[in-house]
Amino acid sequence: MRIARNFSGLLICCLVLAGCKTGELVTDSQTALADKSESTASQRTTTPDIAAGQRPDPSSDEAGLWLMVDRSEARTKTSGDRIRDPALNAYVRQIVCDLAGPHCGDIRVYIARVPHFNATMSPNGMMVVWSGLLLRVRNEAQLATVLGHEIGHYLRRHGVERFRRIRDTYGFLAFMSMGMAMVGIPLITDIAAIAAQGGLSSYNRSDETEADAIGLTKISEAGYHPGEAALVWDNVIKEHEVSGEEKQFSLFLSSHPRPEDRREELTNRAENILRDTTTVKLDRHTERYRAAIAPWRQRLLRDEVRRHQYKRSIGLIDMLIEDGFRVGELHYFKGEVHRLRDDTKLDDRAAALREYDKAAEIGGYPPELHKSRGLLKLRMNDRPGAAASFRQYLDRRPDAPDRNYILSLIKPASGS
Amino acid sequence: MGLRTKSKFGVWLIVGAFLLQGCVTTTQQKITQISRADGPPRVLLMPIDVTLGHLTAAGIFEPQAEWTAAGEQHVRTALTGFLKTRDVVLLNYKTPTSAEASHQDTQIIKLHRVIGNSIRTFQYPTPFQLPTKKTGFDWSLGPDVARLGKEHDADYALFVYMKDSYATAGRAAVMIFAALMGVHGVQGGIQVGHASLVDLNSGDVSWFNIVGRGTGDLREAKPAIETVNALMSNFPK
Repeated sequence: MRIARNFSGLLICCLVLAGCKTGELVTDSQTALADKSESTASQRTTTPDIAAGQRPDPSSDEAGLWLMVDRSEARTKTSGDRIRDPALNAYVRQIVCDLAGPHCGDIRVYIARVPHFNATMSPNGMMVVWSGLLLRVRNEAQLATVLGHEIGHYLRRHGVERFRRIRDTYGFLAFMSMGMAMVGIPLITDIAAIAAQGGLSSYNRSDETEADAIGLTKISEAGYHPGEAALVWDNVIKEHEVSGEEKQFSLFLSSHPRPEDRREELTNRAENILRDTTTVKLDRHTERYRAAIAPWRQRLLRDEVRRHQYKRSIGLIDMLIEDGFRVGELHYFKGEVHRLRDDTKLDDRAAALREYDKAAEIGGYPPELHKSRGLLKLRMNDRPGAAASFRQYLDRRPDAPDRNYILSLIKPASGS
Repeated sequence: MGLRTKSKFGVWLIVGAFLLQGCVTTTQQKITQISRADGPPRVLLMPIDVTLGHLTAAGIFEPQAEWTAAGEQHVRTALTGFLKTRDVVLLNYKTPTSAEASHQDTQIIKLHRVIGNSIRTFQYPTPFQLPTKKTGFDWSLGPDVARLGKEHDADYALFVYMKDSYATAGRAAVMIFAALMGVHGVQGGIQVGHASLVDLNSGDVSWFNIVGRGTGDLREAKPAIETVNALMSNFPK
């Protein structure tokens, strides 16, 4: 979202200022997961697939692209947003390796702490998995669907094709911009802005369809249930529906509007696979996925809550409650969304307390629940109730970093 | 990514501004002299950030790996040659063996990347100049950079950034066509860069110089010397 704002600022600059016609070719080829997929035909690409261990010819345009993404990767590697937990990284990496086969050694996986549904693949083999994806997929087969899709982009070299497409498509714009300069409107072609906003994504429809198909084949070969692939999109669609965000900018749904088509396409393809293959294994590996994600789940939920996209978060958490994994903590975080929204018309305070109660009943919630309940009661002028909750919090977390602050809240309450 | 792109965008605007206005003074400095109590000052040359590429017909910068590798070498050689003419001890940055130390250094390099781009964008008299930067020159990386000084026994760190582009045949055609149509200011290749000297005791940027012009060629060793001399002009004695 921040990126979008910056770029919209840039575009305005482009129109107002400018004197020289220069631009910047985007190098972090962010091949987003989704795309407009009205076309169903999987178009064969012109660039041959990348071989295992292959690097581009140093004199080629592809090498120039790799140079830039290598530098970008150096920054990703040292980024403060990176999740470094060795266990989680090893888990995701193993899935990628199993799917990528001989290309395993060519792909590096980084997990970025970004609370949105996305993963990216750069042409040099840098894969970035966003933590919001890990919160949303329900099992290993669904995660593998997304990872397989990204591997598909890598194998087919969609990144360099996209790079060439942008470069060549925009060649003619030089003449256009000159025409505009003649009438006194200079134009800067800021390719980075256009590419990052997905303005060219319509060129990518076939790439996305192709990557979807490769991903589906890969997961089926690896023994995952192919039916899970369509469910990834099903979840995206449902989350978007409950969010009620029609016009709001979303990384996919503004620039890549047809997850419904992808769901349909993947459903059909999965049916074919299930029909044709008799030996297909149908693993979902739900428990294995849950075990891998468990140490991070509360942090992922906290990040989600902090987006302050209340309707979306409530909808998402409801879907996760339905899924049934660690329901206690889910009720706590749902309560947190209500507490933060605190809309009197929607009766958020009562809803929050209800969710906290459910969490307490089920168990498996963080001790911060008692603090949240205390803060809410304080807001509702229930000072004795607040003090009791705060004491429960400090009993459960004697080493609380905000202990003194909480004590200061208890004091006037007990003194009144 | 947003920030990076924005600052690069800023570069082009500044180049544009300079090309239009003609280059005025490009040096910003807190000091005119560098010194050390017990001998010549020790200057640590940080990893240089050089990118060379094509400027396509559309005015898009397209990186070229071989030119970049050559350009990096030429700039390094030219810088070494330049500093030999000065009374300084030149040290080359080496990545520490410890992972933690290496991480700390990387963060300093990343910090300077942001600060250097900000100085280039917001310090100079362009439409982007910040009101608070119209007088004086006060940018700092903070005292934590002292670790670099201790690691390498250095007094100053020198950061160099260069981006150089060359018109493709298509771009040249656009330029000629533009000239024929009476449109001026369609640029060929553009050379942009900065050199930044950081005091490793205080972390302050002591001296900063930029180049932004339509000439120069870092693909070759000889013209690279000319570029580096321009970049290092007014370097503190």
